Amino acid sequence: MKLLIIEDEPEMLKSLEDFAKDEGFFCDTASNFQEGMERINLYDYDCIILDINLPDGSGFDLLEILHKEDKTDGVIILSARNSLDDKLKGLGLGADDYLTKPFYFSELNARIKAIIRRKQFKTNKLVRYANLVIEPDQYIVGIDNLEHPLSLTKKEYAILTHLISNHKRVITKVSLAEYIWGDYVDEVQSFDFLFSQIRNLKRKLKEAGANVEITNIYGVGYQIKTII
Amino acid sequence: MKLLSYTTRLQLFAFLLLFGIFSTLFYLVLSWNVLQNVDEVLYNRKMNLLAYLEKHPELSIAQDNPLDDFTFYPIDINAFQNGKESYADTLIYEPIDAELDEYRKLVTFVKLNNNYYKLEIVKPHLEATEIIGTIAITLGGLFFGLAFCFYLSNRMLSRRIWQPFYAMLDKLKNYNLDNANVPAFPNSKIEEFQLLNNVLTELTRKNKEVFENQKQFIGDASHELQTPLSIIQSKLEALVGQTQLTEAQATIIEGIIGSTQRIKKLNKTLLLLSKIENRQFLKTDEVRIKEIINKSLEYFEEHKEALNIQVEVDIEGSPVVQGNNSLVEVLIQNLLKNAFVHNLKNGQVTVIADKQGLTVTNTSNERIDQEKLFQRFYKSSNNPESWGLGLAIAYKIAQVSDWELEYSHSNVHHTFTVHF
Repeated sequence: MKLLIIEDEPEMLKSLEDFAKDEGFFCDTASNFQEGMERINLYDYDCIILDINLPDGSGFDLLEILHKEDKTDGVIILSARNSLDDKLKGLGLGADDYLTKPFYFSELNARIKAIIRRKQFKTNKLVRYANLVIEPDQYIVGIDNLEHPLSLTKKEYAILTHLISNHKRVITKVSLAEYIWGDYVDEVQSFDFLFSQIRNLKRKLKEAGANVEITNIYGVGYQIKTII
Repeated sequence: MKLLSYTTRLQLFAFLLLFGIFSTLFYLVLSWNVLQNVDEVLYNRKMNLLAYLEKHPELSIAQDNPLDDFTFYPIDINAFQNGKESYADTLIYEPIDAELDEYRKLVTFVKLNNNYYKLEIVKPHLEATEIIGTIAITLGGLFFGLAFCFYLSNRMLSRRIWQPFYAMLDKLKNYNLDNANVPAFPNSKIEEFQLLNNVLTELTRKNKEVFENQKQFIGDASHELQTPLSIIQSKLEALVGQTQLTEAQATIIEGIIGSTQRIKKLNKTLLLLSKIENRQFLKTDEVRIKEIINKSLEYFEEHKEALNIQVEVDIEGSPVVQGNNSLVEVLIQNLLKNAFVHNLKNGQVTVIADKQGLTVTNTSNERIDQEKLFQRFYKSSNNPESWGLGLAIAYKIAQVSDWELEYSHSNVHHTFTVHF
């Protein structure tokens, strides 16, 4: 998996780079338009993380170049502007996803994986983790195979898949709650709701005999682990 | 009171006062003039009479002859020497019309054929009441005629003259800082109005500029906050992932994460508000209300269970309104959130929607200050999680979509209605 990160803010770039390395991606970085263009011309990437506002040009122009050259690199736009116009423009120019700063890395991670999965769609559609098998298009989860899917609610399913695609990292409660409820629910309440959702999910996983364990890390976040 | 009627009233009052003073003066001058005239006639009469009697001493001077207008009273020399000629008003009884008429009387002392007489000559003169009557009728008529004409012409003229002023007033009344354009005030030939026009244009322009700057500032500031917030958040996430973290450190980090989240949310909300105010959303979507409501309600399942809230949804058909999809989503989400968060145990939430409007009713014991309800940062509860921005945003969205958001309540039922 090869990533290209184009971001002008040095601290942000460093964080993104660290995150990519932790996730096990090979990653190149570029801190301005010129560098980004050079990289794009030289190599093919599975996914490009592209900041729209660059000091010497716009990320939209890079998108256009990619489009003209028929490159199949997946692109996730990062923008500080949560503007619908930007979003539509970016997606119209061939970007695969759009994230507004500030975002959670767990969210970015899930989206990168979704893009990569889409690219490998035909060969490997199912997601496997421990003895869990997930069919992302039909939102079903089974043990070993999909013959007896678990009866999970929509939210439980979302929590489980989010934890699985981020299994190498701790997902903070805040980011998980935001992933599930967005702005609909206030933080304090959402923690209670999240707690009961996870408790139910844990129970269902245990009953089904899944070899996974969702652990609470110091009350700050959750992480999913395989158990043997 | 309108400026027009006020000035007219004042002017009419001044008119009346002036006419009163003039009428009195006129009366005084006229009666003085009449008296002068009569006195002169009396004096001439005396001179003619004396001259005639000197020439014809044979004529007897009867004491009281109804055929003439004079009377001779014989007197002694002392009385003659002490007597002084005088003119005076007198009343004489007129048997024909049985009333006292006003006469002017000349009393003089004369020596005729070596005899001394007191001579009295009387002449009727114009009566004061008649004079006053004439003056009242003529001047009064004139006054009313003039006043009427004045009033009419004033109204017509003023209306024409003040027309630009009223036009300006009208524009100002409908002026809203949120409006995209500065009102254009009509030009006027009249210097004062033109001046007022210029001043107003300048004032609104400046006002608008300040307002725009402020909006821009909020927008820019929240925008600039995004990147540092992203960095803080990513570093915190990375920190949580470190295995050597102690529990105490984790607690501290959790606090920081919570606060960062709150800043993030506030910032996001401010950005949204600023964008709504800048009208950066097109209102050309066909918004399906039913779908949005059903989708939004899913997010409140946990609230529903936690407080055992009865939810009742009554949507007539599948209403479609013209607006902005994302904004309507936010609007409905905010109204529902408000209804679920500020609710009672075993409470109720009712959502009714049709083509005309959307009504969200909830039960709550909270007291709401209706005046401040839609103001930013107004909180009825002491919930530290709430910014008091949700309803302000809902209100703004309704406003930019040309809808109306209304609040009403009865007992524990609080109702928000959007009129599409």
